Amino acid sequence: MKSASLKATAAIALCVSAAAHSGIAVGHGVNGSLGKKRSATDVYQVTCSDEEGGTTPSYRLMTRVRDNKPKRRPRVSVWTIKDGTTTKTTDTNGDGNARYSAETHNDNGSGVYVMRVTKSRRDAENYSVQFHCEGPPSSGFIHTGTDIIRTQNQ
Amino acid sequence: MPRGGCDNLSHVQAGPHDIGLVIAKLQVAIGACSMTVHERRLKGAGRILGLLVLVSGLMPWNGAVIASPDLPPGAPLDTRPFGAVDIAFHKGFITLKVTRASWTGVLAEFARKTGVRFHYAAAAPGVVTASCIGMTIARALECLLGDDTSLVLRYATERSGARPDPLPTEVWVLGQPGNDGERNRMATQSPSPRAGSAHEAATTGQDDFAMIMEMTASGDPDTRERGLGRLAVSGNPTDPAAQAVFRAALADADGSVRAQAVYALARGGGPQSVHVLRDALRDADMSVRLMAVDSAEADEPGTALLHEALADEDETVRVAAAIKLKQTASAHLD
Repeated sequence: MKSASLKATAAIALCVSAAAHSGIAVGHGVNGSLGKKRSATDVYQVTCSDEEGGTTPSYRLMTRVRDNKPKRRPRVSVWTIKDGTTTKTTDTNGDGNARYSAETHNDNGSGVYVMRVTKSRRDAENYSVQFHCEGPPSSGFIHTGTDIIRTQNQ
Repeated sequence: MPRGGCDNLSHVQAGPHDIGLVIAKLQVAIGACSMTVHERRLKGAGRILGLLVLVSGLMPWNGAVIASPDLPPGAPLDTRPFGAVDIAFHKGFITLKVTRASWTGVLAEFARKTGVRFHYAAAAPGVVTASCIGMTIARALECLLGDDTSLVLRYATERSGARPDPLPTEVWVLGQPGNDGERNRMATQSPSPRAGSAHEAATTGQDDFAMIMEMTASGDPDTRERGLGRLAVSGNPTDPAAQAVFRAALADADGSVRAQAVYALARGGGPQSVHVLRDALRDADMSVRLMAVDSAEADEPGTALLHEALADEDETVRVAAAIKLKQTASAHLD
């Protein structure tokens, strides 16, 4: 799993250590679980910033989700919300395989995106979400600064 | 099917925010009407029972003041500029692909393609991007509007009493279409109060510690769960009062509440959190055990807990533990 671009601070090691205690997921993917309740939702804040070590600003946030084993009825979705724009993608490629949902992009530049993982029915689910911030088309959608914290775990 | 009792439905009225009252009145009215009613519990503002109302023939419905404006089929699209809206409807299934389009524009096109008549108060500002492929109308609406939006769907039955037409003729959207992100705008500290949840809505900037503590003591387990979750990520999770609340919640009767308590206490880390997680792995409710796995650290005690969870009776818990162990192993190799 690729490491997320973290700001180059002297306390990176401390941040990584603290991450495990405060719900910060390091890397461009998160694995999680949603409890039995139909309304169970995990919420993250993804912060898109300039390309680390460069000047390319963030242009959009890419996300896709995978419904992991076991095979259960709920469908898992990932939503992103920023500045009045909502995107959603659902894994309709089957439960418990290696395939992710289609990618979705929220084109709202740098800043904080709220990312939610939901499911369609009652029953617990395991999921994986891939995400990264990307630069503008002129940059070839280069990966830019991406930080994430989890703000709700159900 | 006798019509006399069904006439009561035409007099059901409520304000746009009296959602629970509307449903209660509908239940009473429908009880007096010889119709088949399918209750379907949906998540929404308060505890709401969504009704799939099967009626014989068209029913007059001129009294339900739930929402406006109506969007009859064939209505002109929203005049505001909107992005790509591609909706195909074939043999009862919808494929919908929307890119940065206004909510009213999307619903108008949805109505135009399907013939469904929508009723809602007002759509949220902003745009939506969504992809919902090969779904029934009801599922496509859940996909588009969000899992937390409650719907009332009205179907028409054939007079012969044969199986009802699976296509709804009218849909009431309870709440504000496009408001699914409301709770998340709250998380980003953008004020956006919603009827029925104003008490929970965060004012600009700060979560109210006292309000959150009050939520954790609610008689409603969903409210307690939300309160614990917010307390866990607030600026005061180490407060002695908060810690006492988390520990007390470990014995809550509701599994989801106990799971939040586990999550909150595990965030603090350290030996005490290991004890909490170990006890949680023995909880009778799989949601609690799943939360224990999700909260386990990538250290030696956490890894031991995850190995223990590989033998859980529930497959979801076992798989979650396996994924986490694999992730931990990959991280160590990097």
